[in-house]
Amino acid sequence: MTEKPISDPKADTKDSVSKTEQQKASGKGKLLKFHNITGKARFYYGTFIYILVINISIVLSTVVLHEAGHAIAGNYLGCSNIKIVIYDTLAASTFTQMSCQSDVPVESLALSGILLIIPYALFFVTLPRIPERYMSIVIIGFNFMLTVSDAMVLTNSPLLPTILVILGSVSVIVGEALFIDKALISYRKA
Amino acid sequence: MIFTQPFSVMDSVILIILISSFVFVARSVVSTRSFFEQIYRIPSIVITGTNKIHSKALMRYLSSDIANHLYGMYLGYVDEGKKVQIVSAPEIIFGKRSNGIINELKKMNCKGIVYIFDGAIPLGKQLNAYEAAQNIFDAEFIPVINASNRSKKNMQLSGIMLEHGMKPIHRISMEQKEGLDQIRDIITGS
Repeated sequence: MTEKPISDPKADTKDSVSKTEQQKASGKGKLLKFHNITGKARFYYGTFIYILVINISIVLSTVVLHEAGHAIAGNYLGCSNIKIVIYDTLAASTFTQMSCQSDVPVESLALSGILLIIPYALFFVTLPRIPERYMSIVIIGFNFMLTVSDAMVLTNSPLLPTILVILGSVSVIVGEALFIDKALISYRKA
Repeated sequence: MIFTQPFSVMDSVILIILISSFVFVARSVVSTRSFFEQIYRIPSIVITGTNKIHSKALMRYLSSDIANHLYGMYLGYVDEGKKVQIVSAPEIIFGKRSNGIINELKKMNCKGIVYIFDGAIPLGKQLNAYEAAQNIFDAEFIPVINASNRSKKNMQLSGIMLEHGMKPIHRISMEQKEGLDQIRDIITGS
């Protein structure tokens, strides 16, 4: 391996320039430059995909736990033939079906959707200083939105469902804003 | 008895994707605007160089609190009165693909550029980046050679820099507290 003489300071510059030209001709330099420039863009895409995956997982698990809350309460109150349907091509939505005696309090069954949601949201609250802890607000907010049709069992007034929709939407948006804000800051630092 | 949800699983997933995407885009736009508004407000000193580790480390040393950051650029204050701010910008920002960012940087009230050279990096590449930075900023350039590594290339580098009319050249060890203090003195003019 021969070393370039120190007395020829421009030699390295010349070499680098001709090397860059060669790279440009072969397209290699372009690829390297593209790789470097898009480093920040890749961070944004990566974080965005991560945020979507977390959100979809949270929503799916919230729906399942909400329905499971109804099913557990139904089982405890002596209902039979309990089944949870998450996806049905005939029905437009998710539902929990059960056969109950007439003396079973319908209000308790309707409100039981939140039974498993509370410990699930609390689990996220206890996460130590990571952005995902704000997903607890999204979980609670999304559960409010899911409770809208259950609230109709409790009252004929449209006031309660309207309050639940507004409260749920605000909570989801606030939770998302906090989660995304903290995620972009802390993952960039990392 | 059936407890139905107001929307299907697919609707829930689509809803959460829409909300999180909206929040993500809104947050990115707001943070970009706030960063550039902040760097236009008061005079700035830019710290840059081909080795982004040095400019970032120097930034962290000079400013105890990082006020804002975007696209790998960090913003902090060298004085408690916050009359002069320091912006560490990776050399890659000056690339041709970052025209949008370059146009924004041109609007800065830039007082000086501390440009850190490193003998361990190909010299031609560093000089090209230096010239690109000179085309962007109409300010005084302060060339600094990182003297941490006692490479023969450092001698070669200072020879080339003198040929390009760069002076005075500061030889500073970026890995020692004294070296970093020296740069602080250059920036604050003390």
